[in-house]
Amino acid sequence: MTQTADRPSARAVFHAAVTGIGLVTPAGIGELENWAQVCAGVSTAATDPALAGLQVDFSCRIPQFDADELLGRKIAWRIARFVQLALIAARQAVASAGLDSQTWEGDRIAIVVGNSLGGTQTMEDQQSRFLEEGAKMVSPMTIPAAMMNMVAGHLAIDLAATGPSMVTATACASGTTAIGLARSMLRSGECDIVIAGGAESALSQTAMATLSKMGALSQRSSEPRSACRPFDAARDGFVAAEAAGFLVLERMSEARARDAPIRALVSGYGAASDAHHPTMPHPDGAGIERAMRTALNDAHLDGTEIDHVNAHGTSTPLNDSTEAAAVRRVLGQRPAVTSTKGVTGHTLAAAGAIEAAYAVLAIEHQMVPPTANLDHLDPLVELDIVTGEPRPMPVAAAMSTSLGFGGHNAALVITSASA
Amino acid sequence: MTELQERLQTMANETFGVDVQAMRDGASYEEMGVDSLMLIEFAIDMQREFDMPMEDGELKAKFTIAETAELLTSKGAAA
Repeated sequence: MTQTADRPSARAVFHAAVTGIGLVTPAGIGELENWAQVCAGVSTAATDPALAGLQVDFSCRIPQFDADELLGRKIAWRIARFVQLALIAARQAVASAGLDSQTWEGDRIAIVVGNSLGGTQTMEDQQSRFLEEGAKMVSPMTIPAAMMNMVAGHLAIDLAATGPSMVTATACASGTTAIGLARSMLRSGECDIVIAGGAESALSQTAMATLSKMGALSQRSSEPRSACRPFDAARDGFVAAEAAGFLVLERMSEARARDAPIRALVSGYGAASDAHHPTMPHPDGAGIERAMRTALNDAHLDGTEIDHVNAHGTSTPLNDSTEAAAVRRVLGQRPAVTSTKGVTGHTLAAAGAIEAAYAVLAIEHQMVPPTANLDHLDPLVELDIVTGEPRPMPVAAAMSTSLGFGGHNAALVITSASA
Repeated sequence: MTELQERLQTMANETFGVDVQAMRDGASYEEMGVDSLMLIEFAIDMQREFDMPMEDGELKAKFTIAETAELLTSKGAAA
């Protein structure tokens, strides 16, 4: 890929090395399981007994996730599920990077985690207890378990990471924001390693009822497996999901010095705000367009050099057409575009992180996974959307896009380490 | 060990992951790493399990399972 000098970026490209991946999603626990499932292109959505009686009674959960078994009861009981998912995914990421939290210099390790809704189930359970049994019976762990920032706090404890730790909250762009911020922290030198990603588990009844009332969720309760259909003409909303995903990021020089597996590079990041409406994307996609252009400039790449896009592609009528038009304007029709949400559902704040990880895997495997349930492409979507089978193809540079309630837009450019 | 002590041990282990052997050995809550919030939570569980009121601070960090059983017995729980 060419590195041009004629774009308005004063600095040399900063490549953050991706040396580890951790994924706990409805598509599986572990990156191999995830990659197999997203390449199979089969939705993980299913009727959810915890949502019985609601108009939208299905979701994408991680059915095989047993926190007691994976973390031990002593840890599991005091943390909300989004933190449980995060701990396992972050441990995976650290192990896959060949790092050991028992021996590393903790002061140089940072934690940046995207989250948007905290422990909604914990809050709702305790609200019920308050109403039924009174204030005296409310758990003292309610706030410590449900606070968003606790995911970063518990990761710091678990990984003996005593550098900066924080949560980013840009709704469904939070995971992407976290990775972008992590890269900046490496660039500034304030830490040597960042465990960056996102975690979300907000499949509680009130949260789901709210999303349903907003018109954000697919209403296909009778056919959950075909409900999430990004870019399809018959899409009617997203399917809510839970997940955690992390990347281990390091400066290139240090990753090389310790012979770390450099799996791909985070080479560009851009963010922009719509400043338009609390929940509707800008009708022209102006925000996501600026985020994408900023990320390209940051990576010193031209839009024609992007081979693959892991799109936000939520399966809502508004998002997919708006995003598709922006992608078309910025990158043209060349890149192979997919939305892995057809398989995983929409994991909200975790989405950007797990989709960045899928983009890394697409580069490693030279393969673009298909968009599940795409039967009839929306004529407004003038893009090369991969559907049916995974597509083997050269992927040197990929982009991952995220849009969130609040008008938050973010984009990452991820490139091959061998290019 | 009384039936009540067994019940308390099971509750502490299944809910909070407190080590059964340490409880059998007569360790206090603070010796087993049970912090103040966990102690309050345990007291709430006991109130629900035994249907009896407990004041905040009544269950103390220096208590063992046997001493906890004594407290509950003094409040009317069956030993």
